Amino acid sequence: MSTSAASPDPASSHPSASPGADPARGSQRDAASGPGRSAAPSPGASRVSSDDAAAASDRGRSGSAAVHVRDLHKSYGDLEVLRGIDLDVAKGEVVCLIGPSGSGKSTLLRCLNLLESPQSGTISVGGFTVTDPDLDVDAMRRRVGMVFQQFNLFPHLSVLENCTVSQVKVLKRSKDEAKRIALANLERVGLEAKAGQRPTQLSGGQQQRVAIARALSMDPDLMLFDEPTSALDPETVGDVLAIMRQLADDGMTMLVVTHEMSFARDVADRVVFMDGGVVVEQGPAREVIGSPQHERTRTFLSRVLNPTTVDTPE
Amino acid sequence: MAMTTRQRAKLSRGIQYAVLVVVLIALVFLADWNVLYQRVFNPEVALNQFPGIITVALKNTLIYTVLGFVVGLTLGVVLALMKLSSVAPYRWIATLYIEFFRGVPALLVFLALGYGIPLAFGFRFNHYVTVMIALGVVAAAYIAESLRAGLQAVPPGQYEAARSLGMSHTRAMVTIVIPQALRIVLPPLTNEVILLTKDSSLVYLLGMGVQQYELTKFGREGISDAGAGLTPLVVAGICYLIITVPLGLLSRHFETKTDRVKKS
Repeated sequence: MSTSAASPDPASSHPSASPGADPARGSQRDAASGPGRSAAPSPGASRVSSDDAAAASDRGRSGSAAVHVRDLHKSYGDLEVLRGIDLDVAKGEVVCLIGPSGSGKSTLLRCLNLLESPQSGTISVGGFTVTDPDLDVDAMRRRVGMVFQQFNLFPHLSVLENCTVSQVKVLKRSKDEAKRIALANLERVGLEAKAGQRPTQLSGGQQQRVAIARALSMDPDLMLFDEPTSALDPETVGDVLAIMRQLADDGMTMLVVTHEMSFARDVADRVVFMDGGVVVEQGPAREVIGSPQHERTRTFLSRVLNPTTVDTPE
Repeated sequence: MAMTTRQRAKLSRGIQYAVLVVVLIALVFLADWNVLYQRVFNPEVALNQFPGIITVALKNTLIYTVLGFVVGLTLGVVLALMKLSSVAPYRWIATLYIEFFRGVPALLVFLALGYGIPLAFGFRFNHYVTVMIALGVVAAAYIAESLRAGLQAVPPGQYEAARSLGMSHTRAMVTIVIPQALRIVLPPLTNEVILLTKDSSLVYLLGMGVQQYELTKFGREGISDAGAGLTPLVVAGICYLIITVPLGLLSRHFETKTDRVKKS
C-alpha cells in the first residue's frame, strides 16, 4: 500500500493547529461535534486557572477542554511512535481513536495519564498540565479513569474490593461509603450480583464491566478506554459496548481506542484516524467513517469494514 | 529378531522388574538381619533417645531454623528491593551479596563466624546470635532471588492499573503487587525453610552446651555411647523428616493453588 508509506500531509495531519482556534472545533468538520451533550461542570474545571499556565494563556478554552494535546512526540529508542500529535477533547465529548496497529493510538492514550512519558509537546488533562515536571501525578490520575485491553482487575481481591480499594486508600472514603458507591457502579454495569466473587470466576466481558465500574467508582472527569473489547470473546463484546454507550449517553467525557467501527460511528461525536504516529484525519464520526477524505483512511476503513474483500491495485 | 516398538517397550519393562526382584531377593537372603537390627535400628537404643531428642534437639533445630528464617526473610526483602531499585549502586551491592553467599558453602560462613571472627578479633557473639547470623545471611541470598522473581512475575498491568487509580508507587506496591508476589513466592519460600532446617545441622560445628544441641549434634553424641550403633543418627534423621516432609507437601499444595489461579 503506497499511500501509507507517504509522508503525512502537514495540513491534514494538524487539522486543528491554527493558532487561536477553539480546539474543540479545530477543523471545519468538527464544528458539528458534540451535539446535545451537556458540558457538565466538573471539579477539574476549578483547577484550570490556578494550575494550568497554558490554559491561563489561552482563555476561552478552559471551560470546555477535557484534553488538550499539542505537538506530542514519543519514541522508543530510534522508533518514533508519535510524531507531533495535536488532539482536543471537549467536556462531555466522546472521541474514538481508530487506525492500524502500531499507529500510536494506545501510546497516545497512555501518554495522557503518564503511563508513558512523552519526549516533547504539551498535554493538559482536566486542568492538569500533564507535561509539567512538577505535576502531582497521582492527583491527576484520580480524575482520569482508565480501562485496559486486559482488564487488569486485581485477582487477589473480590469484585467489590476491586471497586473499593482505591476509594478507601486514595480518596480516604469510609468503607461504608466506598461500598455504597462501588455497589451503585456495579449495578450500573449489571454485575451487583457478582460483588462477592473473585475476578477469575467471571467471563472476560464481565471482568471488563467490573473494570469500568472500578474506574467509575473514583468519579473520574474523563474515561480512557484502551481497546476495551479487543481481548473479549465475540459474544461478550456487545455487553461491554452497551455499557460504554450508556456511559456516553450519561455525558461522560470519553476517549476510546477501538477497532469497533459501528460503535465509533454510532456513539462517538468525533473520530480521529491515526496512522504512522500522526493524526491523518478527524471529524464527526459518520463523516469520517462514511466518507473519509484521505486515501489512507479510505484504505484502512475498507479493510476493516470489508475484511474478506481482496484488495485491488489502485 | 524384528520387534515392534510396543514389544520392545514391554520387554524393557519386564527386564527392569526382573532386576528389581533379583536385588530384593538377594537382600532378603544375604543380609544379616539380626546384626542390622542390633546396630542400625535398635528399638531399645531408640527409646533411650527420648525425651531429649524431642525436648532439646528437635526444639533447638526448630529454634535455629526460625531464627535463621526471620533474619533471612528480613534481609531478603531488603536485598530484593535493592535489586529492583532504580539506583544502580544498590543493584550492584545486592547482586554482589547474592552471588557471594550463594556461591560459598554455608559451612565456610559457620566457620568464619564461630572460629574465624573470635580468633581474628578476640570477640565472640552469643551462641544464638552466631547461629542466627550464619543461617540468616546465607538464606537471605536465596530468599532475595525468590522474592525478586515473585515481584517480577506480577503482570505489569497490575501496577499500571493501581497507578491509574491514583495510588502512589508505595501504595500500589503494598496493596496490589506485594500481596500477589507473596502468593507466587510461597512455594520457593517453603522450600527455603526446608533447606534451612537441614542447614541448621551445621550448628554441629560450634562449641555449645548440652542444652543447645540440635538434632545432628544430639545424634552425633548418641553414637558415642557403647553399643548404640547407628540408631541415634537414624532417629535424628526421622526427626528431620517429620519437619521436612510436611513442609514439602505444603509447598506442593501452594504450587497447585497458584497454578489454578494462573490458569483461570
